[in-house]
Amino acid sequence: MSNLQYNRKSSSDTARRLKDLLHKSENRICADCGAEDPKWASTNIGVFICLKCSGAHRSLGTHISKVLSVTLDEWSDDEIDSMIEVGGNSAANAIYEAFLPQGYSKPTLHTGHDQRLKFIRSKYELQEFLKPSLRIVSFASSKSFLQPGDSGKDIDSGFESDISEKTVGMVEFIGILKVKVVKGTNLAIRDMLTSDPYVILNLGQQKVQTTVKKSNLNPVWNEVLSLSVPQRFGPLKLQVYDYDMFSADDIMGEAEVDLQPMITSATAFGDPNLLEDMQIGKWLKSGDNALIKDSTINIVEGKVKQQVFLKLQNVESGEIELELEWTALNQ
Amino acid sequence: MGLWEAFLNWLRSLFFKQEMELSLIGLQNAGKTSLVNVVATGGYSEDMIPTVGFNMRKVTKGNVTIKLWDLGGQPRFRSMWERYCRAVSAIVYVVDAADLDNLSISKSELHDLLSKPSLHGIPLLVLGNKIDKPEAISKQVLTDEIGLKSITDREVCCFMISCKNSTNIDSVIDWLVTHSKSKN
Repeated sequence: MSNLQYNRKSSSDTARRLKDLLHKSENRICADCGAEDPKWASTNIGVFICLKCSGAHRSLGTHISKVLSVTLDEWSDDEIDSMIEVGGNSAANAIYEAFLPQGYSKPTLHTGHDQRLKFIRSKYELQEFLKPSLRIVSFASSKSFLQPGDSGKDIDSGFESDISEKTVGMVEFIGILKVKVVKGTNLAIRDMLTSDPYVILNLGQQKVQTTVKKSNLNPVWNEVLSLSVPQRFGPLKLQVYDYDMFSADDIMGEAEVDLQPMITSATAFGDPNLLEDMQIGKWLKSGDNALIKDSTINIVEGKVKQQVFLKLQNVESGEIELELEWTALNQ
Repeated sequence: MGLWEAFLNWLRSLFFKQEMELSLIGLQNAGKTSLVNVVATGGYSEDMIPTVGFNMRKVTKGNVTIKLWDLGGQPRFRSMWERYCRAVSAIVYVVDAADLDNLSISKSELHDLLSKPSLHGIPLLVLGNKIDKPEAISKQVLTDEIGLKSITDREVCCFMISCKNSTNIDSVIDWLVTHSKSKN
């Protein structure tokens, strides 16, 4: 059987416990395709997988799945602990495949690469089969998969560390916030004559961003970004950056959006599908917020929507238009 | 030690802003939105449109930031008042003191709201507005008509005000500021 190697400093006891875990019958088949005798593992997700699936996991990036070989890699104590903490393939799949649609066919040993990758992405990155209100937020995945290329470089180095990469917590979410980044107007110049702007949205640990618009001070994005909203939510933070190929990206202003008016009023009014189109509330422009004008919250065709016009702060010029849409979970 | 504590308090006052949330409730046309305007900007306008749903606005007085939920007073919105009041530091109930016909409705809506278990113990400030009008009733009559004496499960205070003439608005702000709680 596999000869487990481990970090010299790790106690043989921990290593033995990992071996014990690997030898449990549930872990004798790949968590994703059911192939026998998996010799690979995703240490942050906590599953044992086969070679083919390990390739798919690896292509998701280490912020989603950190792949190690049971036989070929050296494991740290922390990695072993995190595997043991999850408790094996059954425990992990009970979460990641909790809401696998009836009749859905999982990949098998013979499934091709594309199909396999699609499933693995749906399962771990998009977390499509998780109970909707119980998505797993990994601190590491705050570096969102929506991020194009490398344009997020340097900005977030402050709060992403090796330690956080291992921290996975369960958070109960109350709803989904879709933010349509409509457009920017009269943005600040950060290169010679223009800028290459993109927008980052932060909500708690989550971070999503738009694509970069080349040489454009009045960019039109019309891109919809999704965020999960936890029970205790803070403001939605928006930052605009200028993408630079060879140096750190420059900030082009920021603004905050208080989500409480929309979420509180949506909760008070109840199921929007039962309501006719109407205004349900208004967030007023005042000296202490970034609003250009009062922001109304409306029911539009059964959806809760809010139009937000922001004046970017801490910058010489620039405005951003957003359209928020709120969907409550488990009302 | 006393000196140290005083120093800490001084630091706290510098860095920790007090923050509170309030909801403004009452029948339509009681003057809730006018009160927000007069508290926030000192301005008064005769020409106010009815509030649809609610207006949320922040007002800063000294180092106290007040998040005001100014709720629509139409019957359509009254069933939702409770939702907005759950997390607030105080409930402000505005009554048109010159509208004698609606006092009994105003009374029953208030007592309905206060009977909700989720709002138990939240301090109540009742404001009799429009005392600039000749037909306005006195504080004593308002207290009796609204049945304030029967509310014993919370702190209750009552002021007679005029948003139009800015009468007693300072007292209202003082009361609100002393009822704010430190956010941190």
